[in-house]
Amino acid sequence: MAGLELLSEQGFRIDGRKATELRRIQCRLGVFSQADGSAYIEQGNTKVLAAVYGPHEYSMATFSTGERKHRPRGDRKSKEMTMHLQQTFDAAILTSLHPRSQIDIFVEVLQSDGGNYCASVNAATLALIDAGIPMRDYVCACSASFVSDTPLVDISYLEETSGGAELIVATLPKSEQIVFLEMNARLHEDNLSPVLDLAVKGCKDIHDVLDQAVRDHVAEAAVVSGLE
Amino acid sequence: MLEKSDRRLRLKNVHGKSVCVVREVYRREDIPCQSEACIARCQNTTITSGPPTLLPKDITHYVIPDPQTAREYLEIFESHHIRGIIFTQTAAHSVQHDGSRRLHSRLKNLIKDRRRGSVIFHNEFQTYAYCEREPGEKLSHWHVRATYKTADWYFNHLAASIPIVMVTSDEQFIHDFGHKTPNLFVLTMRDYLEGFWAQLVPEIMELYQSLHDSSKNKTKDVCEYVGYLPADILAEGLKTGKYIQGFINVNKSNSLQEAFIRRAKKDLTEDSGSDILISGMVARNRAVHGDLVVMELLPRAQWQGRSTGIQNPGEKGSGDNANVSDMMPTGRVVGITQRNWREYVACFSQDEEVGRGDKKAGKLLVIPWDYRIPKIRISTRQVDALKDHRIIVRIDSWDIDSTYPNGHFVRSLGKIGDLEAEVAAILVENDIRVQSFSEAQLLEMPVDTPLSPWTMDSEEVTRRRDLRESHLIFSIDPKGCEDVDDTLSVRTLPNGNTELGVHIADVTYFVEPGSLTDQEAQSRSTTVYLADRRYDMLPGVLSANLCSLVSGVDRYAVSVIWELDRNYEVVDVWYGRTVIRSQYKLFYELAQAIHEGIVDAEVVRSIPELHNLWGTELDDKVQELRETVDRLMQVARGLKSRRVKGGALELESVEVQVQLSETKSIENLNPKQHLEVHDTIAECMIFANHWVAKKIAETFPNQSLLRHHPLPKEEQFTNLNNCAASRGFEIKTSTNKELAESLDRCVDSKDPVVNKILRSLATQAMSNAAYFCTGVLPRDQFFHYGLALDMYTHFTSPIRRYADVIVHRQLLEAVANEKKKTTLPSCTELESLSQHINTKHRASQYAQRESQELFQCLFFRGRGTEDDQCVVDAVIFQLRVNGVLVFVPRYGIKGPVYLRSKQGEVVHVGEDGAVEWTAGQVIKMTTHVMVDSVLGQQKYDLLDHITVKLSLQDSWAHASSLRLELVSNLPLKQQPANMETVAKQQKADIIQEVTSEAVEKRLQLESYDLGQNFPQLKQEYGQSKSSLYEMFSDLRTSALQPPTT
Repeated sequence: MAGLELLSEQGFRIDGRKATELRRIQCRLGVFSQADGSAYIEQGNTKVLAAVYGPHEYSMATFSTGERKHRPRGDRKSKEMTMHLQQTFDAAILTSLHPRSQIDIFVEVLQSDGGNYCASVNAATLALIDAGIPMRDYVCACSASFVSDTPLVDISYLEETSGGAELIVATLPKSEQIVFLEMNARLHEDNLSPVLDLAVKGCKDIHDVLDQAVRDHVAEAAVVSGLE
Repeated sequence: MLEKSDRRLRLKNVHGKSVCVVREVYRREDIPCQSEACIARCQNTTITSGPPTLLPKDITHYVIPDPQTAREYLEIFESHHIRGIIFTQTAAHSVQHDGSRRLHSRLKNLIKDRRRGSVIFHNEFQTYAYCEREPGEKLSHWHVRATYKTADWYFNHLAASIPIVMVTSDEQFIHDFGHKTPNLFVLTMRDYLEGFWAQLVPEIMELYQSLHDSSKNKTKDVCEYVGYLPADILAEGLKTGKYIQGFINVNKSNSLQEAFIRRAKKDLTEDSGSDILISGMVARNRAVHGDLVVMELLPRAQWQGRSTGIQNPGEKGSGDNANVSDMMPTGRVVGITQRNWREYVACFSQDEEVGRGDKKAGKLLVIPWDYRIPKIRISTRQVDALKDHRIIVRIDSWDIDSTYPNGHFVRSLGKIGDLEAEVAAILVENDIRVQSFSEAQLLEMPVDTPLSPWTMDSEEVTRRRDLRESHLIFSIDPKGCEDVDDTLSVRTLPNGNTELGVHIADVTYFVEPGSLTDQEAQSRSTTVYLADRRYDMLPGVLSANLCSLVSGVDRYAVSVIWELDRNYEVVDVWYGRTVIRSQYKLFYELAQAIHEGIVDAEVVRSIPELHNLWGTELDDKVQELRETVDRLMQVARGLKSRRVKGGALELESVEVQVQLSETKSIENLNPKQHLEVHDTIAECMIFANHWVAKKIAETFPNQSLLRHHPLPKEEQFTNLNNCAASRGFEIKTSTNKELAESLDRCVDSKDPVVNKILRSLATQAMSNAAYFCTGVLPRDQFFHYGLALDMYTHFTSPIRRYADVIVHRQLLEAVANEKKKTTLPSCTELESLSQHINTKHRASQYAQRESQELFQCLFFRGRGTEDDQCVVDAVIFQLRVNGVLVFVPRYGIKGPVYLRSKQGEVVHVGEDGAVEWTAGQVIKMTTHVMVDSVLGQQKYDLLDHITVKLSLQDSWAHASSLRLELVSNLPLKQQPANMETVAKQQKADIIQEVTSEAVEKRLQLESYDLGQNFPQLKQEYGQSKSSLYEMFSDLRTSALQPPTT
């Protein structure tokens, strides 16, 4: 894969996006009937299913990545991701309203094409909203990288693996508070702020999409239940 | 932001094993067409600084090659005649994946060059230009179809205003679509070239033919080369340390046997030498000099030694065991990471039988000019026409079953022996391109003709500090210099402090970043000075006129002005743009003479600026000038002593000036004189460069362009130590200060050459000074070893060095009041730029050196063996097992002198001075060589003076060289070029020189024929370099090429 040009001279990425463009997001709420809340999200080719209830677990389907291999559930990578998701939502859910109770979030990555954590957070947010659990704000997550002096938002698997820096951030978009921040590989200090700004901007854009999805879902539910 | 279409594309991809991956592709309608003729107002964007490349609108057609054509005939598209090439993204990918990395980078360079007006079009992202590959469709067919779709899109997008030509090799497709739309042509490469270019550029057809032939012809030969290992095994082996990677370096004097690979630092272990030997063509396994190769170390039992004798380049290695050094690590090439093939100058063999390999097929071997390159097999039908020409050849491939690489003929440079052809060969070998400036570039230039003279913009003048009245500004340059880029001023301030000013031509005012002139200057990077001519970096109107700070006219400048206290401490420094008027344009010899106190009358006679003055006014002016020059030299001495205390090195060079007679021949080769005033100017420039470096590095810690000079390697000093020891001196090399001091102590009062040689050997030991971007190196590597400064850059010659132009922009941005968006290149851009400039500088230095050698040879060509100018004094500076290397102070030449001939006879100098060759042997010790023969023993010590005879060794295929033969083991009786006596003659010479200038002017002729009007050429091009630093780096370059290698 060496010598792959991540950003062309005219500013197009390998998949045809510009540096500041997100992948296509498609999402649905209430995909399971037996769960308290559930959601499905597609960010490009990364597809994640989230359900809220029961004891928590995070895993990846064996068929999710380009290369098929048996992936034991509960391996180190999954445990780390579980912990990250837990920390993220600890900060966002108003846990004080539900003393002595347990909220369980199931996240299943069906297909992985970069940004697994981000899609998982976004899916879980939708599922939590669907379940009616009080939160401070939406939690939106987005990744960003830095290639040829240009920050790139919402990076794909190809861009993740070609060695550049990867910055992952989860925010509460209204207050712009950062609830989670992770950085892989090295990035020069001076470049951090443009990359972070772009990732935060990406979170806001994702928020707009999710918000619209929630409104549509509520409107639809209202029609079905005859409230309108 | 989200209004994009989204479809998926299935690609097959190979990661060692074949897997199927899904990648999303986003298509959009707003992919720009990048054409100036666009009527839909496409938005053109680019991620780099500077305006985007656009397809020009004033050309006859756009051409779109399909992927296969782009791969096979990229070289034709590289010809600068063809503009307006649209490469589809599909073609670019195909060049990268099915072609090679090198091919792809050539494509990228082509696109990057804005003069070419060629672009990559993202057809796979454009909704309407994309075409889906149908299931089961052949890749090549889909490529052709996708290209046609793009051509069709362009045709419609530009509303048929410009004809589009699609080039493909698919005959069926041409038949089907060739006549579908008028003005949208589908042609084969041959038809395209014949139709559009054959009339304008006839040689393009030859190039096509030879490319075409070479892709068809594969020669079968018997050879024992083995195949390369697959890439993943190589990568694995490199990781585990089983294999070693490095650039292959062929030994010039033994090119068939020896090649070396320098190990990277991290691979060095304590018991291994730094170089690895690759012995023989089989072990070299088709690697060509300069390739990045992967190699495997052989077991210790198979290690070999390198030969230590002096050999003539091109001669076969003798295989004599006596000439071989200790065993050294030996290896063989198992893979090639990157081919670094370039254009090679070559010629057909003089020997008919050898040259004609297979006449029917039109295939023959050519001998490259560079000894390190193997013979190349090319196909051509023009042998008879090109028999005695120097030609350019490119290597295409080197098959496993072929003894020699296959290549193709590119173009001819001219007849062998013709001065122009030889100079062109030097330029090509060093990859220097010197086409004249294009129309468009010249249009960007300000106009200055007698009809509409250039004037200063009054608004611009008010923005600048005006030094025209307040300062006495003057320049000191070599005689006849045209591009004056530095001027100086010095005065005493009311508070007793000294104000020193360095005023540099404001090139950046005229050259906008990203403009065509800027692009051209960047690609040239430096003005190239050859012995008899120069190739400017900037168009003449700038370099010789508007930027040149000649006397008596107002000019824009960038100034650095310091206030110095009595101890030459800097109290205050000011940087900024100024307006100046230089009052005197002095030359070195005159300035030195003024300082040494020649009478006023002489001063007045030599300075044209004073001719119109009389009486007391004249006396005052002369007095003022005298004082200023004295003051300047005093200040420079002060500055220098401070720097020398810090450990700056003073190094020595003997530069030779080619003195050409008014008619044809080269009259003499004169060593250049070194005057104190040279140091004065150099010191001021070093001071300015240093302070500018400080300023930009402080303002832009991440992206400023500096120049550093790393520490020399300890082992390089061995020869210097041996030489010094032979005369009982000791050289300490641990720090630059100690080295400078110990060099100063090595003075033999009877033999002034000793110190010079030791200094030049010290120069050889130095590493390369180089430009770098501050964001790339750690802070502690910024230093400049030779000048003993913590930071250094190049600021003072923007007319002839591109690095200075960048530094000017950085400095001006650093001192600008309003903070606007920076247009400076970013760290990564700057780093690649500095690499480019370094390469170009090195190339221009090599070219300069080679052209000097060419002229040396021309000088000796006409001379018989009896001419006393050919019998000269020489000093031994290095010992080999079959001879010694000597330095000829008279001409600044280094070369080998054989003490044992190829037949194994050794030389003996008899009592009467007669030289005899008899049986015997040569024994090499640390500080002397013993010649042991039947007639007795003779000893040659390091630094001994001997007498040698110079003669020309003509060569057909390569550069001619000089042969040195031993005449006597004693110094030459009367030394023709005794430095001291020449220096004393200097003063008398100046006056003579000034008067003869008028005579020279009369001799100027119109024609450009070299020879008849040498005075003119000499005046125009015969510049020397102005700074000590240049001299320093020159010497370093010459040191890079010791005479035997």
